[in-house]
Amino acid sequence: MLPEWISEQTHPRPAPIRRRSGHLSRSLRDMARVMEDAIFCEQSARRPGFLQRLDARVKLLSVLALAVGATFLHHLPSLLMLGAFAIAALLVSRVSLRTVFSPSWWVMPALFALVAVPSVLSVFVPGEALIRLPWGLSVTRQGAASAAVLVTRIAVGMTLALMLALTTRWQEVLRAAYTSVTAPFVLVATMMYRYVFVLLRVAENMHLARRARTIVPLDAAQERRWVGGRVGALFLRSRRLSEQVYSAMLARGYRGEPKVLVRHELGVKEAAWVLLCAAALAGALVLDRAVLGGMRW
Amino acid sequence: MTPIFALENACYRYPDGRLGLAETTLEVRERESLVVLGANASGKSTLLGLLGGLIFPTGGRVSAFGAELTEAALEDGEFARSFRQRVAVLLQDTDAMLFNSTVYDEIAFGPLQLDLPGDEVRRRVEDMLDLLGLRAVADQPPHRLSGGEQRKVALGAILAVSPQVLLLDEPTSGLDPRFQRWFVELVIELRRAGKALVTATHDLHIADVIADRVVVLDEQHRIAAEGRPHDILTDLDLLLSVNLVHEHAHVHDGQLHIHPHTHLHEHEHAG
Repeated sequence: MLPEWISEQTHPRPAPIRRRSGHLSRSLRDMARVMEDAIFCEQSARRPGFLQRLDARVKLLSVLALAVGATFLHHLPSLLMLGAFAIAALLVSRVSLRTVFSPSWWVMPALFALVAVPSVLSVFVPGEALIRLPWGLSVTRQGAASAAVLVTRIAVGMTLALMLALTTRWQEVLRAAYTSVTAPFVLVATMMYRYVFVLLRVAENMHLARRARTIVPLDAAQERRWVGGRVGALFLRSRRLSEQVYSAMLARGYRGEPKVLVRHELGVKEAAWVLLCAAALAGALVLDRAVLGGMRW
Repeated sequence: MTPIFALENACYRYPDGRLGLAETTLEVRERESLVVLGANASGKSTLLGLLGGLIFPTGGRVSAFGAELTEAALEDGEFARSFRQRVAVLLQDTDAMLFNSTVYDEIAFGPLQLDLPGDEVRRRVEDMLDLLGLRAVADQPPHRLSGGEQRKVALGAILAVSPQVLLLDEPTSGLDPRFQRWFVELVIELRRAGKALVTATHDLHIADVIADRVVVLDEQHRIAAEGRPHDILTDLDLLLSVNLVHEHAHVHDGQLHIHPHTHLHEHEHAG
């Protein structure tokens, strides 16, 4: 029988809404956004574009080669040429500019731009004054050029990284990295990626369950205690899950050394892509050294 | 029929001292479909863990195919390989079962660990994708699929090693009637193919349809009864005592009427 008090209709009137967004809510929202971003990248990688159809191994190696090549370029036009090549490849692959230049693209160049600010001043890089400042300081042409090259190189690197991330599913990247030597590391990375999402989902559900039962907002100390408790609960959950995963692996014959099926296919389009990348890199290097090498920037 | 598993007074205690399974003596025979019925936390999963060589008894003995199943025996590569090739385990938690990045790799994992040649692994994966209707999602991450599809992938992953015995822990739990019907049809096919099945469940309907023999565990983690499905499933006092059915109260013509409630068989209500 239900206790009598459960039938009493003594609920308080709805209180006015007070806006309050705790650190915890924000963190969990951010974590959920990480999941959404990952899923969004997967969607973009599933589109039937040119880069999406390429073998992941070839893409991984070509992006690495282009990124290393970018470090040998010392002039803005040659760096921009390589960046333009990456953007063109993304556009051909049905990835929009809006997707490429999302807020995450801007973070690294902006950070490096901040770091490079002092290097434009005459005290660090002497040279021809572009802008005169008080106290005998000036922004020098040489300083500004080197800062611009640094920031552009980072931006090109980010674009190249996105060229891989937005057109390749994570599991394909991992599979591309599978060799007999790397198999244990790749298997661990695969599981990390897989179970981080499981645990994020659990964390989010815990938070939602608590919010559904919270009547009075907790103060900071109570919230910290709650977070501490949930971190412990998540740790226990992840430990239990890892034991079960290991059991599932054992039951399917795993004996400490993962064996994988390598499924790679190389064809004409991969060869064409390698040639395109080689041409773009060679063109940028020729422009950088032979054409711009003697010019003042 | 020859026993493929034999438990002789086997019991299991967790490291913290809690009892998982009380002293149990039981045989599993070739080609039979044994259903282990029990309420939550009655020891069904523990029993499957012991049969599957995932945990080892803290008392008594478990034998498989005539050899004692111990941790040391499973450290022997040859024995472990032959045992894992013959015995497959479907865990209750699908999250734990599906750890590969694609459905294809998930199904290929077991055959690869058993050192089957690449072409044979590919053939088995392709056959499983067709059998389970998973070809369209072969390159997708298993954890992004629906609950029923995930369970199909997990079943495909264990069937790909072509085991002699399947140990299935709550295979239909939380899934819709269409999946349950599909699962029953699969079990009938597997029976025709000569596989033995041990299915742990608290779903009486599944037990009624797929079992040759039923073992009932009570809430003290002991075998409360063992017998033919009809005998077990019509013994409402037994099912009530082990918490597999509940007493159902409703009113007829102003009179409160209480009886054990199961969805297995029709019963008449006095007017």
